[in-house]
Amino acid sequence: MVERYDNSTRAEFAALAVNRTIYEIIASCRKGEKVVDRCHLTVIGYGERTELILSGCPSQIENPPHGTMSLMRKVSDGAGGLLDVEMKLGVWVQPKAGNGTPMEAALGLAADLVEAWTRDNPDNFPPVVINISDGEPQDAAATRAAAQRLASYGTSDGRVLIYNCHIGTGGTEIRLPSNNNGLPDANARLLYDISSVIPDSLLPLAEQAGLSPQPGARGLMVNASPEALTKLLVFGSGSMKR
Amino acid sequence: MFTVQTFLTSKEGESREDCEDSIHPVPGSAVGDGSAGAFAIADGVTTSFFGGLWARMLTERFAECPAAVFEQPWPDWLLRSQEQWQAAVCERAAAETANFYISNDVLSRRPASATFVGMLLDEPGADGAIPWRAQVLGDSCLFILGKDGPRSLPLTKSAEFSNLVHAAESYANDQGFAPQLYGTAPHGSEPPLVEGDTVLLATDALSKWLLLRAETGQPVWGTLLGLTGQAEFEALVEQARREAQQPMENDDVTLGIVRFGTPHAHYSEACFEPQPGPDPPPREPWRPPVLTPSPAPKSPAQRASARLQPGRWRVLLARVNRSSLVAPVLLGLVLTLAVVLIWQAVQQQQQEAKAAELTVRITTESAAADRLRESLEQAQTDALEVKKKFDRLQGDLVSTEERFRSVSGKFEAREQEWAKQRRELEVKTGNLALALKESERKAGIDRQSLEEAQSQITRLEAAQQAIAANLAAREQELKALREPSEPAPDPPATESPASPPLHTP
Repeated sequence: MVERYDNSTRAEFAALAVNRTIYEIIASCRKGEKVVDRCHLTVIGYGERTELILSGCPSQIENPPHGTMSLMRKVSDGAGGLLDVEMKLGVWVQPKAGNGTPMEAALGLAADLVEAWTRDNPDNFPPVVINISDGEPQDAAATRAAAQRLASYGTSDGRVLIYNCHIGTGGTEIRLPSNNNGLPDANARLLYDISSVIPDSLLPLAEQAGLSPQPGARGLMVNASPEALTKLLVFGSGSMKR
Repeated sequence: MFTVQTFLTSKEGESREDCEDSIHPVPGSAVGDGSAGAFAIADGVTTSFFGGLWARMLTERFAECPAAVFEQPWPDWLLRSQEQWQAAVCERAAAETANFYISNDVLSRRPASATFVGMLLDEPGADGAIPWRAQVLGDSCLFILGKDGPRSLPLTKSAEFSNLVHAAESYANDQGFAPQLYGTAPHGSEPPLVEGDTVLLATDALSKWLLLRAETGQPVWGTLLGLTGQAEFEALVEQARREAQQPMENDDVTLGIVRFGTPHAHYSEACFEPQPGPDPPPREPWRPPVLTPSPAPKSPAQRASARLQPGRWRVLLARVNRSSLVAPVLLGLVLTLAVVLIWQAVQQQQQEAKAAELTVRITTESAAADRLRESLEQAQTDALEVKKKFDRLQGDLVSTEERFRSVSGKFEAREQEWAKQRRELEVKTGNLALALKESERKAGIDRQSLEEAQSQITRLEAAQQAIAANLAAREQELKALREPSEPAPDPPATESPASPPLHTP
């Protein structure tokens, strides 16, 4: 995660993209000056070790634990031009890179949380799990088993949706494949196997996020560019912003 | 003659104040004769920014002057509400309690969106039928329960509802969506409303559910037409959300009912028969997991403890008991040894559990302390940044003040110069006006002299003609005197008394 990636490191870019996503989800849960708890958000970090970084409803996490940072952003001036404005972005997740990819532990922890949540919320929209990594899982068999357990949970509205994003710039980028032909290696095929097929009802959301999924497409990006990662996060979190 | 009822309720689990739908007339204000004949609903898009406020502004704007939405181009009609909404959110962003979400949204011009239905009844025709027109945008629907069956506008099937909704936005937008106009001729091709018809205005969740019920042969029009108050409406919505099959989606729900006399009988008969699913389990709010560090790998002592778990000994003893050849003494010894070992193992396990618990607590507390330290450091860094920014802003302020002073000095000088030029111009203008008057006066005198000269010429011409006539007469007389006798010597020239003295003017 320390390799260069869009003028920063992969860890920094991923943290920024995740912070943006959390911000957008909380912003979409705002009703005027109030925030309404329409979803629950959890962030699990894994590398040197697996840890729960953030967990809570929007009202519990709306104040970012690590303060805010300033970002310049171009916005429409309403008359066909663009203005540079300084905006604040919350910092919920800080970049961190470490050796090891204990994906099986992270998916296992996610499965424990999802099991409890789906038991208590049997009729809600099912949980969406977005897994971002730039490495190969340490234990492929255990990762597959943990993902299968995670995918076995669901609500009356459908099974848990697992989207995987392998970030990197070292090979051909593959976005939302609908078959495993052309995947570069066993690691990519493993991620394909544990990625959910995007339900037809969510295909318009993917289109809206700037992706072009075919029917039967899976929530998977391989060698994802920064742009692809951002789009997957926008799409994956879209159902929480409905 | 028609009667109007309006209802509004919020999402399950949210309060009425959180409802982002709006309706005109507001519930409770116009039960009975809706003499104005104007009705509107708007549904603030849930994820938009201050969508409820925007929806309310749209229905209020419609209520002020219902005909305007049909007479003005849509963007022009929206403009005043857009300005109102923008002023309101800017005020909120400027409030001391505003957080960075609101400031960001105002800076980035994040819009509110809302669907809209506005309906206006016109004067009844000679046959009593009532012409009407409606502007409809998005997935809020208008239902006409006519004699020949129900009709819904603009969506006609439950499958047509989606997450991507056309809506009016609170910032002017060239690519914005415009509503569709429906109604009787000349606005559209719908039939006029007659005795027995009912009009429903409903936001998306209810509209979709009504269509779904009708599509599956279980329409519920009669239940809606029988509603007598808000409590019954809320009970109906709650039951609809609990249906085992095709429940109503959890959303804000708004309904307007306009009745033209007694509804047609076939609608009143179609009533809702609830078939609820199993009661939902009592909802404890889901508690987020406690943030603790991941467990450290097991130590050799813990691994040994795991090997000495009592459960393993029970298995071993069971195997021993199954052997009928073992002597009772040996069994007793084994049992004693087992009890001792189990006791030791339990003691050890308890101590280790305590130690592990203490370790976890220490780690948790350390992590909390680390987080607090990080927060403190972050706060200090933020404070430094704020101080720097303050200094920079103060510097900017001083330079701005200097610039202001310099600009205002220049401005004053320029203003004095302009005043001087204005005075000069005024003097010049005055002089010119005087000169003009003088010229006009002289021109008047000249015109009078000219007229006098002309009249004198006329008089002289007349005198000249008279002299000529006189001269001719004298010549005739002279000729007559000469002809009968000898020519007389020429008479001496005398000055005719009639001839005026010749003179030049």
